[in-house]
Amino acid sequence: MSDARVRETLAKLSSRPPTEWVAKLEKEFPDDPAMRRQALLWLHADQHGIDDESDPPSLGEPTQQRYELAVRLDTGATASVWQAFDRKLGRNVAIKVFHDQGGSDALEQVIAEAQAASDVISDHVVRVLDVHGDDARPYIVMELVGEHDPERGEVVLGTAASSCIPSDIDEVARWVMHVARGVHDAHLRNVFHRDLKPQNVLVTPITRRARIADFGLAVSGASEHVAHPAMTLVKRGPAGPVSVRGTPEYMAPEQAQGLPLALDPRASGDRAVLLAVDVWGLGAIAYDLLTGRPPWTATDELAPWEVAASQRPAPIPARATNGVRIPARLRRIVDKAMATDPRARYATAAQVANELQAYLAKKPTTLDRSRTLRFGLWCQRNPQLALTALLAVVLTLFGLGTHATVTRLRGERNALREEVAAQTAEQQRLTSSVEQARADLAATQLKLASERTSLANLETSIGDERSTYTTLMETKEKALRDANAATRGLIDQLDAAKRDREAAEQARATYEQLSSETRREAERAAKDRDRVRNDRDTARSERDAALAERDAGAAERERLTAALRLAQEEVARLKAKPNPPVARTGPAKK
Amino acid sequence: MAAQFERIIRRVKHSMNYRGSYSTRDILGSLVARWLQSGEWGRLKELPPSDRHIGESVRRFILDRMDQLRRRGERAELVEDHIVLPDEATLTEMVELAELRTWIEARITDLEQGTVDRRVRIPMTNARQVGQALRLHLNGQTQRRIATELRLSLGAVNKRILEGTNYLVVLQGVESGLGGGS
Repeated sequence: MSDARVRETLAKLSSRPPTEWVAKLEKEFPDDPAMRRQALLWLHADQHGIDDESDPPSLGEPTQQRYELAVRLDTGATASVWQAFDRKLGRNVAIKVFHDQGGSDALEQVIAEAQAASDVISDHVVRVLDVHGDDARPYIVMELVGEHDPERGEVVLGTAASSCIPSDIDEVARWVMHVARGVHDAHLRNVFHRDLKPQNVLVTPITRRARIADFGLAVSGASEHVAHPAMTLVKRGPAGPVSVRGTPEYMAPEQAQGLPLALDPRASGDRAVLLAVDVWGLGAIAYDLLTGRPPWTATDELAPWEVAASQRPAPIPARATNGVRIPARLRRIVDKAMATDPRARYATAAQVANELQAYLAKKPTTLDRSRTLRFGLWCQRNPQLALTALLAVVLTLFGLGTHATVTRLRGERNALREEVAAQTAEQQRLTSSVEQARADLAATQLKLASERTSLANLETSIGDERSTYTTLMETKEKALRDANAATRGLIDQLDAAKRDREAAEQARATYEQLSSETRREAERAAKDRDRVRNDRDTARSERDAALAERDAGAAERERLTAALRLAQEEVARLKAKPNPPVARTGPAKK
Repeated sequence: MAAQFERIIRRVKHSMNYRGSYSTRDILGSLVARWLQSGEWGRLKELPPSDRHIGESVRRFILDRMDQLRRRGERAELVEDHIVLPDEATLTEMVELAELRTWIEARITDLEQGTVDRRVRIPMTNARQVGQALRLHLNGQTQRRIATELRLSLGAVNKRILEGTNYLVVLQGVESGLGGGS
């Protein structure tokens, strides 16, 4: 089945009653149960959908008769806001219609606080006109924030401060001052907002006045201070159960850590706690509008409420995001409103408003203690008076200055006259000195002329002396050159003699060396000779011994020869004799 | 089946709601979401339901978290707290909602990239724009702000958010075993 046909089928079925859906789907997708289930789920979800712009919600017959819902102004997660016409009173109103049905704890509390807030009458609070909490679609009727624009000829609605661009820093201060006045008016009725943020502030389009719009988290004297167990996160010592409520990015530090559930605005201690939270909220609105970011932002590891519970907000920079300088006076006010310690903040919202009013009127705030600053502010407030005073001071100073100058000039004139007289006398003295000097000069010139003549004579004689001297010098130079040549010849001869002497010394050394070697050689030869003689003597004795030995050997040979002969003779004799029978034995061996 | 439908629709729409103003329950929900990211839930899911003791695990996690805040914070007034948590059934529901919220954020990221789950057979007109509108809606922007940002009419924004929410409901139904297959 094509996408277009599926869309067409769903569009067709969504306008039919749910009781017909199953049958129609079975007809459209007979062989596709999975598609039928998806389409059915889609249709059911569609039926629960968010209100359509062109389809105002039904608020019940009596309401429909009185209010005509015209244009959906906006839709959020919990409710839609519609512009409506109140037929009974003939005026435009805004109606906040909640998505959820009545009955839930949270919604009941919102409705209860809206009822309490309806008691607040202030130029700076959006008035709650009517509250319907028991209907099938709970809704709150509020004053429509808008102004007639003569140029466009129609009513132009207000916008949230978070979406507005303030014209300058003072406009931010003015908005926060308006909100502070509204918060103070609510406090006078024992209604405490606890969720102040730029999104809850509406700014009118023409007069640019700020008004508080949402008391959804407010606590009032009318509230029932019952702690619901499921809403309790932590229990802290004797203070009992606490709850954490508010917008994390704008929470007061103590709010993020949890406020006691049972806060009674009529009890002074609890009232101080609630006041401090709203004063922080005023500071937080100013912080956001001045810097373009809320006081608390998430980090990689911490959620905004965790940052609010454990860190300190970054100080307001000296310049806003658009580069405009934020005056130190205004920063001091915001810093005090956002002090971490609730006791260090302004005690009431009215104090914040008064401080901002003083800031805007260029009057000193309670934090402006410097005399210079206070005087500067006075001048800004009273420019004509300041200018007149300044002019008077300048004129007085000018008069005094002129008088002093005239007196000084007179003194200077007298001093100059005396100086002129002194100068004249000095001039006369100098003139006579000049004449004396001229006479001296003439005498000196004459003296110079005669000395010049003497000098010429002296130069002539010097010229003669110089020529004589030149001649003499040439002669001396020639003699010197000859002497040098002779000296060089002698030096050459001396060098040759030196070389001969060195050769002779070298020959003598060679001779001595040869002589010592010859001596050593002769000694060695004498030793060899003695050794040869010894060897000879030894050889001779050996020869004699050998001769004696030879003689002994010869005698022995002769003896043996004789013995051999005897033996041969014996043998011959024995051979000659007949052989007696004898036992055979082996031959005798020798 | 109608009850199942109702439950899925209610849960998805509840998870889509952004509450600019937090209640204690929202704070607790954000802590449970962080506990979910810590991977402890993944480990406990392996155990039989009777052995999971979600409350104890969440309570320990929150105590650790508070301790970290105390140690790393710039202020000294954070004191030792005694944590009181809702009952096990409520906590389990909060864990499931936190899980669903994570799932929804992942699916919206898919849509922003133009990716539509093939198992959903209801056609979508402009997935990227639907994803962008849902993302802003999830971040708490009102429809007028979304319309300004995406340069659409207020009615078109309403339709995109409705279409995206329906898609998420159907996909959640498919994941739960309803409407799957072809």
